[in-house]
Amino acid sequence: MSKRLPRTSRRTLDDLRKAAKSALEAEDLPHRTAQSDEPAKSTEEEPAPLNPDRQEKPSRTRAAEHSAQAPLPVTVAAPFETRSRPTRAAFRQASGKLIVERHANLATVAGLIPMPWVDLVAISAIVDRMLRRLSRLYGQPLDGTRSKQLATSMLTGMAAPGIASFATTGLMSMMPGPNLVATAITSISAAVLVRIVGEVYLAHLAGLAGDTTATSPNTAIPTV
Amino acid sequence: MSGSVVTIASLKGGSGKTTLATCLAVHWQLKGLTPLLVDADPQRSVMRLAERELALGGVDLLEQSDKSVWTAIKQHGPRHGVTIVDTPGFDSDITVAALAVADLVLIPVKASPLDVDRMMDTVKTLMSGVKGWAPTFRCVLTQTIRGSVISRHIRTELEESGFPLLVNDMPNRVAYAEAGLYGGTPSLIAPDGAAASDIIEIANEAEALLATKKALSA
Repeated sequence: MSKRLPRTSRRTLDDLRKAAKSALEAEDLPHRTAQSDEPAKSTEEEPAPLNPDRQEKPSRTRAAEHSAQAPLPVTVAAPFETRSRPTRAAFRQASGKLIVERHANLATVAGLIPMPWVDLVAISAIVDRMLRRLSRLYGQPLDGTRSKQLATSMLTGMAAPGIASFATTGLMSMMPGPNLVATAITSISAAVLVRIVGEVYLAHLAGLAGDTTATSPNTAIPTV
Repeated sequence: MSGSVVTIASLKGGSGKTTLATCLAVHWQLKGLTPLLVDADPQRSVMRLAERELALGGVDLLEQSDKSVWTAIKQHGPRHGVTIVDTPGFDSDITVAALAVADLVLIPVKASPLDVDRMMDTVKTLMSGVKGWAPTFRCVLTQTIRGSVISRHIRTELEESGFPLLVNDMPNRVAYAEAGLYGGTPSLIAPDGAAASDIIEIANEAEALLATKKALSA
């Protein structure tokens, strides 16, 4: 009853993986060669070739077989298209900056809590949360205890002037007159402090992940 | 699944990207997840639908059909329960940018050789578009005819070749076109109908995948 139909394609997911892998390797190779020979010249002055991956249209299976037999020849420099596309490092950095930004805004609100020392506890909790989010972004999840220790040490170690400001404004807010001024100072200091802690930790994570060439999101995809 | 991004991508036009994107967005809106539907397709299919009577059930929309779409998603996505991105039906940097921010990529594919061929090109773009970025992806069989040999044949063949497919198809039903006339989806027009049930099944699978991914990366 059931009809016998021919295959629609002979390609498998594995073929595509191999083809993509060899294309990425082919893109990386000239990068490395160019860096060792003529650092800036070859990447900028080569005619912008197409993605080598796209040139082999006729048969992906054939391409996969070819890549299995011999490495792809180094015939092209960094393709323009590849350079214009976002890298993982750029995405991570953009995401990380957004996380820092959001937590800095939260800290501004926490700094407005009109109760001395309670605002400090709230800000510590925000830093703790921010560090966990950033760690997760870079695939290095922190457990609760470690992130709290890290948050405390970063707040007290790196941001001693900020803590001093909190302590001063905390004392000021106990007095009726300068209460509003103290609250405003605490709020602004909290935002600045959280931003500094976030950016330093983000740079640390980027270094660990080897995202040293991370570009800003604006430069990752130029608006041509 | 808070803040997750689901990109609907296929390098072939007419595969059902916009239908799938709008159906998921409306379903999640009705479920109270406050989704954001991003129209990254220069054809503005989502925006055109939203200009009609039901306005896609009031789903939050963002029109951004250029390659900076990924920064827009990064900016606006966290304020929504889930972001669904409808991409163009051709090879472009817009698609690559939308793929790069995705937590889950759904690739609609009709049960036909041309569609299967372009689906493979889409998978290849996904694998080589952004270095080191590997979102979870699933193919979704769309516009299938229930009980047809070709649908079963294509599903079996893709599974044997290692392509991950959603268990549930999106069968061909007039309810999608009818709902489109009102600027809605079957979940709005006929919530108890078969098409709405299909959407629920697909959405449940997507939610499970996103939850698994989140748990693994937590």
